[in-house]
Amino acid sequence: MRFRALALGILLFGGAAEAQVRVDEFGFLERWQILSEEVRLGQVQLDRWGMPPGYDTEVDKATEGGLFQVSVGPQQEPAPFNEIHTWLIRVKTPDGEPVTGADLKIYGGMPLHNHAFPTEPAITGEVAPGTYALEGVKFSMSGWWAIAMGITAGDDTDIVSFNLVVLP
Amino acid sequence: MKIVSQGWFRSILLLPFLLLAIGLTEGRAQEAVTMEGAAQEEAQEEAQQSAETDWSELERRMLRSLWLGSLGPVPADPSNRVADDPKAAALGQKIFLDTRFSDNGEIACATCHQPDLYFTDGLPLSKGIGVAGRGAPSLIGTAYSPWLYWDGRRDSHWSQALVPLETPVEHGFDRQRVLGVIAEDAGYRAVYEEIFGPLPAADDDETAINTAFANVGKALAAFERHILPKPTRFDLYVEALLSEGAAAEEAEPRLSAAEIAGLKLFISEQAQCTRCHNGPLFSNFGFHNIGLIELKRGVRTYDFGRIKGIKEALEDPFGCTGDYSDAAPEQCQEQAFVKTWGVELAGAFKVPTLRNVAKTAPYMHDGRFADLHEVLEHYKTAPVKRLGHQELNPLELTPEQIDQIIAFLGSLTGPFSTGPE
Repeated sequence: MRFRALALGILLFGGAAEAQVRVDEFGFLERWQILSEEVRLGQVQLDRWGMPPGYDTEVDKATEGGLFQVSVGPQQEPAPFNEIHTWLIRVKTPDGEPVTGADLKIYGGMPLHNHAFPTEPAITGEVAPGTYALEGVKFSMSGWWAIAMGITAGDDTDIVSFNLVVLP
Repeated sequence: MKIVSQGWFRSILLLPFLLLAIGLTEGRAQEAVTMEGAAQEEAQEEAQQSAETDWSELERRMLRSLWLGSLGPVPADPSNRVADDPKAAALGQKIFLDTRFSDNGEIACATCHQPDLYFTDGLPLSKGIGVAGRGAPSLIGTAYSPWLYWDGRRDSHWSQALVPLETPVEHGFDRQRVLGVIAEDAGYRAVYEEIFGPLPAADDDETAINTAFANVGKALAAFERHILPKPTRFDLYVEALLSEGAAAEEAEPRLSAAEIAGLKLFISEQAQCTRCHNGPLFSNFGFHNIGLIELKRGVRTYDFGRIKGIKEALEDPFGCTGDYSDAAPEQCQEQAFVKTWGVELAGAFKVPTLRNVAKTAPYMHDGRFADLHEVLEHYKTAPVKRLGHQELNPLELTPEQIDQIIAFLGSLTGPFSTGPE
């Protein structure tokens, strides 16, 4: 029986893993794993929204290396709970010029639940200069969610992570 | 949904909540209130909870989100053009109850989805012609679920309804014989042809047979969409609580002290129930691993849940993007953005509704828990299993608190409708 389970496991996970390997290219997953461990050990106390203290909930901020200014928000207000919908990501230079033709890699989910979105959101296009559509977003649980991304434009790559507190 | 945040959309998203939280009725605090401000105001609010209700504004917000009055209309099913056709619903209801659609003439949909048992059968594993691999979930409110089955291996009501008909241990029938029953019954035939056009001949090609078989599923789905919950004592309590003035005083007698205490726990971070059991149907219809998978000797099979279910759903010829669906591809949003891989899908099962939960024992996809005490004990201890990503944390709940939560769950039992009012 154990062998059969192992075989089935390899079949299931091996096959699927081959197709979609989740690479932690920008270190977001590792960062969240470390945080999860700190929370588990009681080294970090969460606020009432389930978010570590000191985390900002800005939706318009500079990337960590200061190369871009990024804002995010749902395409239509208010964002629905537990329904698929679209977010818009606006990428600008620090001077406020739209950054066109950028490559965005999205990471997101509930960092402390160690799971990603219940869906596979995808950047489906640049709907206006410097504005990118993130389709397929769904928030299925209340609490702290993160939308993190690596942005590459030309030779520049930088990262940014947005924190959202979702209530039904 | 509320996203608490700062910045340009704070004013839109956060403001209504702030207005509630700080009791403003005019939109004047837009610029002044920060997230910290909101939290402070709310803390004050909680400290001064009004004596007659004892609910903070955040709690009231949660109660409103769970209240049946917050449930929107049944979502459209673009894959089923007769979803809202009353004739199709009437046909579907008849087929649902008809045991002729089975190999031994004894099994109907209603054999395992019994209206008297809130459309379940009270068994750990359902019994058709043989024994099924899982228990029959309630059908109440399933029209709101984008994915059907415990593992979500079908993506519509109608594609789900086709599967048991041809499953050997359930109806043990096949699509040709299903169509044969309809063809030979003058009443069925007339209604079918009125809705869908001529029935194919028994020797017609595969596409014609499949199209007609899909139509049977679509009629069943048109009926099942009407199986909806009606307000329970919990809903009447919340409705009175949220109403202004004198009606609010009527809230208190609706629930007992133990039920109210249980409700308070239910929506708390202490019990964490509403992480998944949220919204008016007490389910996010997502798939979660709560440590049910057993990888040890002696277990009959290993049920991997969603990670297998999604593969099957996407290969289903009767799926949303398939040849027999009435949907345009761009209407299949759930399929387009579905998660097909991730450790969180292994051993994950669909979150069931908690409406009528006190009457739908046994619990979990395999009916392993005989009563709600066993369920709550599982959530309390959160035993570690060996596969996948377990989402539970051990909970600090006293036996009395567990009893209170179970008492509250009893207030979710109520009537349901099976047709247009």
